[in-house]
Amino acid sequence: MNAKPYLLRKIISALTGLFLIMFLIVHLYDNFFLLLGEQAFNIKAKELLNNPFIRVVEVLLFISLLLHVIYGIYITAKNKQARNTSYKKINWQTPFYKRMMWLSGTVILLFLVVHLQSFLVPYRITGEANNLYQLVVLSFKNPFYTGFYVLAFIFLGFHLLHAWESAFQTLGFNHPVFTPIIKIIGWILALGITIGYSAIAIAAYIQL
Amino acid sequence: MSEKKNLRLTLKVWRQDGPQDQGRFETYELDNVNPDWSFLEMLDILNMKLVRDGKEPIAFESDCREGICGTCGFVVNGRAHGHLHKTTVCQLHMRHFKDGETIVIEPFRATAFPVLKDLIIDRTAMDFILKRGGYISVNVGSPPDANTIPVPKHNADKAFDFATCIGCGACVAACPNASAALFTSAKITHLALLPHGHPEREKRVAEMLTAMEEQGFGGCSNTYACEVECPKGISITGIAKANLEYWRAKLKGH
Repeated sequence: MNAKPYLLRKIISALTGLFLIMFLIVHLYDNFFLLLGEQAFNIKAKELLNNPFIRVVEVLLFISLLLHVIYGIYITAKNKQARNTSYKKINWQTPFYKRMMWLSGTVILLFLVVHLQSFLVPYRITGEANNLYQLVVLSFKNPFYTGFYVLAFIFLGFHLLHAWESAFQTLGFNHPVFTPIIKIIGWILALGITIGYSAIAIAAYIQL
Repeated sequence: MSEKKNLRLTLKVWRQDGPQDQGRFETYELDNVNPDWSFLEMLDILNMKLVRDGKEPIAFESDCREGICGTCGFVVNGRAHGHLHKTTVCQLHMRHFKDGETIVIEPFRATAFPVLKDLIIDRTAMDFILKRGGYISVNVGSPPDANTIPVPKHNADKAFDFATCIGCGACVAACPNASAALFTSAKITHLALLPHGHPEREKRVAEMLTAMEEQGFGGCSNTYACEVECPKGISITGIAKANLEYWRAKLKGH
């Protein structure tokens, strides 16, 4: 009797996931400052760095991310265990992205490692880079960097498409009127995040 | 009588001698298949042919053959109970297949459902989930007068929708995670909607969800593949309701 209902894992995954979505939206807003030029972007970056509220939320963010990754791996491993012999011929009645959360999650995690290493580490930890704007724009000048960036956000888009809707179901919210609205918001969110982030990266690659 | 012409089919059937056997596909040709036969009747005819040829017949389960007992069930062309919506395999008729078609048949696959022989699986794991709360154990005394327990019509209808689960295991078979969430939540929701289920409401949800985990079923990741294949059309809203029941039980200190 030491097993715990799978629901506990799912609830943690859903709550941390929703928190991470909130962060994605705020981060996208901050990214738009890149289009306003060097001065505006660097001032914004310094402003965020000096904001005590942001610093506290940042800690929560890392904890959420860590929990989301750990529980994601745990959930996937448990689910794979539940079918020890695979079908020889199967026609899944669910879209591929709903079954591939582990794959999109892995790509996003890989992206995060590269992303934090190229921006957060030199700017915040080692202090090698003082001018964040120059650092970001230079990175995006590399077509492979921008290409990988856009690819990662396409995966993130699919991840979000399932995640948003799924989180509400996990938390027990399924309503004849509101659930279809939640689904539409999910599409807007997934498209908005993918297109928004990618567009800024591509703009940096082409113009800045 | 049907005016449609009889079919010629190639059947690729999963054959497995016992739980320890590796298993393999065997191919059979079947001629003169009447479109009005059910899928199981077609297999009966094939088995008669196999017996005549001195071969071992294909083992599969069935009982009522009316689509209400939940005994039959296997995967036909990659779909649990076949491609037809809201049907069990015994109610799937050969008129839904094309002449000359190759049909692949394999058992429901899940760690919790070991294959016993050919297409027969052991679904005892579902009984173990039921044993942990899929019933009411309060002592109610002698039968009460009619209508002494008021149940709103809306709740009665909804509870009935979830009570129609026949426990066939198609939801587990169709789930990428081999989760029994639809089955388990159907029981939880059915009893949570009726006053009779209320005394054990909180205990039931935690116990049944834990039992599902212990039996080796996967967790629900809301892919909703189960709902598509359920022969009784049980809704995944029941899963959300069961999740809500879990919160409720936790808040009440269970």
